[in-house]
Amino acid sequence: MTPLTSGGVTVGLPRGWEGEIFNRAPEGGGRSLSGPNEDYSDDTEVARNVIHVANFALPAERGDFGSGAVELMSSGAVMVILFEHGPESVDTPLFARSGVPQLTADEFHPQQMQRTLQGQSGRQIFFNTAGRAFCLYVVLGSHRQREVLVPLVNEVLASLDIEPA
Amino acid sequence: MDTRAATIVIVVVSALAVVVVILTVLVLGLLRSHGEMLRAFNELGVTFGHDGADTSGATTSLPDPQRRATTTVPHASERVIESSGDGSVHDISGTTPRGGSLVVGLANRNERTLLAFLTSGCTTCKGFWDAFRNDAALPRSVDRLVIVTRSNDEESPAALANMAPERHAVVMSSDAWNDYGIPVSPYFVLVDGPTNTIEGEGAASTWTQVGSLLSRAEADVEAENERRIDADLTAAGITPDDPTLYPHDLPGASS
Repeated sequence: MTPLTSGGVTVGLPRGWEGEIFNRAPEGGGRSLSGPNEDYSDDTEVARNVIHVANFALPAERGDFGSGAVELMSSGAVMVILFEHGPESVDTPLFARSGVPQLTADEFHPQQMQRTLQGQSGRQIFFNTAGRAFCLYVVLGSHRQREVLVPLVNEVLASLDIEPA
Repeated sequence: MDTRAATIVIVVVSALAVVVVILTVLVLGLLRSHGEMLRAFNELGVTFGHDGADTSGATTSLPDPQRRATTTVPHASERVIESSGDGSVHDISGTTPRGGSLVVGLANRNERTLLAFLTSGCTTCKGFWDAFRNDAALPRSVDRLVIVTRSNDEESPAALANMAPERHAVVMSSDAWNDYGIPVSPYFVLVDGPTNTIEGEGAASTWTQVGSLLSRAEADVEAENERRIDADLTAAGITPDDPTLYPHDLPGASS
């Protein structure tokens, strides 16, 4: 697996997969979060780590939750998105689930897509780990092939290493 | 001949012998130096020839047997630039000019990716940066373009951030330059994902020349496929005039 590392997050990519970790600056400015040891207590809103991983060619221009990319997905494609939320979110009920999740095919549903695309299905989960809050959003190119595709997703999720805040 | 004359002759002959020895040493030194220079050029992927081929300004050479296409188009200066990579496809891992991390997958994929190895400083590269920022159309045989620069210890991320096009990925990775054995910049490598092979590569000074390089590489691949298919058919006992190759000639076939 090829490691992809930035901002205190490391994910292993199987051969042929690709991915990017970048910072999304908050609207109205704010300080860039360059690593896990940054001081989260600063009142200024920090930039968010956004992690995109996929087994197809990711276009350079795409939205945080995969717009611009999911439209290009073939039936065998998967896209895994992790969006980090601020430290104020860690203890909220929305992020109460602890630990990086593993998924099952039954959890996926076409209606869980940010925008419904024919044949595709998605799954969104909020969780916390290592004192950090994340939204996991996974898109499958084919809902019918979810039994085959979900193990690929879980292999990548199992490789996730998130350093403490 | 008296003794004095003999002495003079001996001195002159000795002096000439010394001069000959010195000149021999000098010539040998020059030859050795010349050999070392040729070897150094060779290691840099530059060779010299006089075949008088066309002067398109683009060079590509794929001598490695692992590579599918073999195309050699000498430059006007009659030098051939070739990479020193092992000919295999490598995924690319690096950083982005804006500080993120990026892994570009190339192997076992459905698309054909053109890798453009550029620097922020070379004058020739500037034309490519401008073309890519202005959405220069990709050749038909290319699904996407990925720009590869050296890592941030050898390149300026700030300079690259200003030059980078919005629509194409830019990855900073000196490892990729080493993996693909890139000899000069700008240099282009066409990776065919489905076959997991390097289908063409070479140096070019304009975007138009890159299109020309790719067309030649594509033609070479097609010719090679044709040769392979002919060989397979011949090995199976099917010759060019075999009726099974012309189903419309078979009894009962509709015309």
